[in-house]
Amino acid sequence: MAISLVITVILILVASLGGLLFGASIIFDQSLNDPDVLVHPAISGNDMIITIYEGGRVTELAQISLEIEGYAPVVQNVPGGATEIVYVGIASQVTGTRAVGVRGIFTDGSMKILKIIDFKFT
Amino acid sequence: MIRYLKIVITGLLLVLICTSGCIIFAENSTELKPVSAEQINRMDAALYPLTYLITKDMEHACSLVGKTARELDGVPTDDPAVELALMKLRRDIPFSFEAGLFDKNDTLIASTEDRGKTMEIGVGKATHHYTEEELKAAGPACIVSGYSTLFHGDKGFTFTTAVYDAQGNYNGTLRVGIDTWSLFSGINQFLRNEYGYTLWVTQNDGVVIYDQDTTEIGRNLITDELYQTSSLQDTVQTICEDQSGNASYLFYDVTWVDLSQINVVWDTVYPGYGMEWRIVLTDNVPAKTETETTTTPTTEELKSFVEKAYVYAQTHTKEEALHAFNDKNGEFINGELYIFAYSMEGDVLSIPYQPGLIGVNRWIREDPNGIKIQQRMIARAQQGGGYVNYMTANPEHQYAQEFKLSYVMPVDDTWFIGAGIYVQENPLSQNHYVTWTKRQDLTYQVRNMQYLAKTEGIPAVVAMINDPSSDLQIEGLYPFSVTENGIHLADALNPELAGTNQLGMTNSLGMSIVREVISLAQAGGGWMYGLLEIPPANEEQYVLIYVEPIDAATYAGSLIILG
Repeated sequence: MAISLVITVILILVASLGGLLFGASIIFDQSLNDPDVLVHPAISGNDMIITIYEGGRVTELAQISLEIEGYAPVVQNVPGGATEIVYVGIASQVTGTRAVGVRGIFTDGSMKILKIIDFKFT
Repeated sequence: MIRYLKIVITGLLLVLICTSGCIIFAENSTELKPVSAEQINRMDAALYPLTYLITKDMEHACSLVGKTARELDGVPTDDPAVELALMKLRRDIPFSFEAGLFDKNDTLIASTEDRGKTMEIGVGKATHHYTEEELKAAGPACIVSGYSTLFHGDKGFTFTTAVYDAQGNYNGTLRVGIDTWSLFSGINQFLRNEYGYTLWVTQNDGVVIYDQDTTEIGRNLITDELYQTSSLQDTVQTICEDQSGNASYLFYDVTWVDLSQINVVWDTVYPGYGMEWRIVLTDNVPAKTETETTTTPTTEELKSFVEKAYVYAQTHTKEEALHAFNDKNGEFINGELYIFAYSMEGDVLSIPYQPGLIGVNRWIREDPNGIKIQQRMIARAQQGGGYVNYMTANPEHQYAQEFKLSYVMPVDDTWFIGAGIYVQENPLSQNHYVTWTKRQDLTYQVRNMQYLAKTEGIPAVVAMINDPSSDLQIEGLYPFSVTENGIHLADALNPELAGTNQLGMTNSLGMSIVREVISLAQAGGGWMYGLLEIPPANEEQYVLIYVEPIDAATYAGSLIILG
């Protein structure tokens, strides 16, 4: 009786773990294959250029918040169909290495971090 | 019947074995052709002035090390004269890395190096130990080490000489690290362009200290498996044993697939006590073909190609992406465009036409003008990506060194991708080259600014940059100084930029030269190309820039206009 109980518990644990890993792998694959919005920030002089590539919610993207470590976030609207958002002069005082985050704000009001990357401004 | 069948099959197998043997034999049967005396004489005539020149360079450098050592005899290490003497020595040997003073236990006690981590005073150790007897045996000459990784992480050799205390007792050593690439690459460019020959240099123990292919530097010609062909081994043995001579051998051509005959002449340089270098001149420089076989993609097409790969890398696993980038028949090959990928430490992750390089670290790879290619790419990738300039071999033009424009993008904080196009209109793709004396002038001028900043102060250096007739000036060079915040303190090319913040200044490729200069200086200094508007016409031209830090917040640089 006790042995069968132990075996049942082990089977349940194994099944749960397998399901967890399977689920995690699906979530991981989905995040790779179908990002909400794929963006990339780059610097050109004092400007930061956010390029918008593709993604499952790209048409719902209403605004982008650019967040440079040590500076206040700056939000810009994303016109429909835009592939580039330029933050003119935003890096004029920025030097050294800082974390840069790009947050998407969607038409339903939800927000999601689209990119975080360490940036070497100089 | 079965018996006959067995005989037939056995016979067929024998024929097959014999035939394959013949094929293998045929592939290896390339015989060496005799070389005319005229050709040997021509090669010797190109070689001997260079060995004389290198000998004189080494003698001069060693005499400077000896002179500085005598100036430092009996001087306490906390005396400011020590730092100044080391800075002056480093300035006067432009192909040096750093200069350092070590105590009797090989511990660093004074240095021109301020990067701290690798050269901490009181902690850093010299890589070679010499006894007092060995130093005495060298007499006035410097001991020259074998090629190795030096105390600051770079690769090269060291000059070492003894330093004495006020009573004349042995008190330690003065050592100067020498950059062999800087010493020989300019001479090699001169040979290629003026004579159609190329150069490699080996110690008499077989260790290669210079080759235009950086992957061969540091290998031992006698023991490395790369060189185990019988004709090459015979030649290597002769080169190591004989101080001069000529020979021929079979070795891989630039494709690393086919064997071809290479003819060499060599001579010996004695750079100092305890070392012999064989300076080997070869004739395996293929003539550059002029026929254009493909249309060069535009910079926009180049960028789009890399962006397509970026999207792929972001929507697939790293393994899937690298597999696709390395596929020679895949979608990431388009004419001369292909995707390369590197780790942020310089390890090759993808390079479809040279799969043998995958896993190789190319951190120290340099172009003929000293640009550390992978380090510049990584710096650009860490700025979010953009264009990078360097020279590299073009397979479409018989692997001639040509100017390349690459676009790189970081996939994440650990690796990046890129692709490049050759820029035929650049002067460096048109047999123009920067002479090694000009490059030494650039290095000297920048290090002179460092020295003068220490002796006269930064404002005095700024005044000298602005004064076209000051002692600092060298014809054809344009010195400048910039702060960590991008303020131009002085600029001999554009004097009106003085006092302005130039972080935002970009060229037609969206590159901020000032941000790149600061990044390079903060990494310890070095070489880079830039595309700048040159007055008075303000048309963009490529320049070669050398930069080093003056202190933690101020950097000195100088440039030469290419073409």
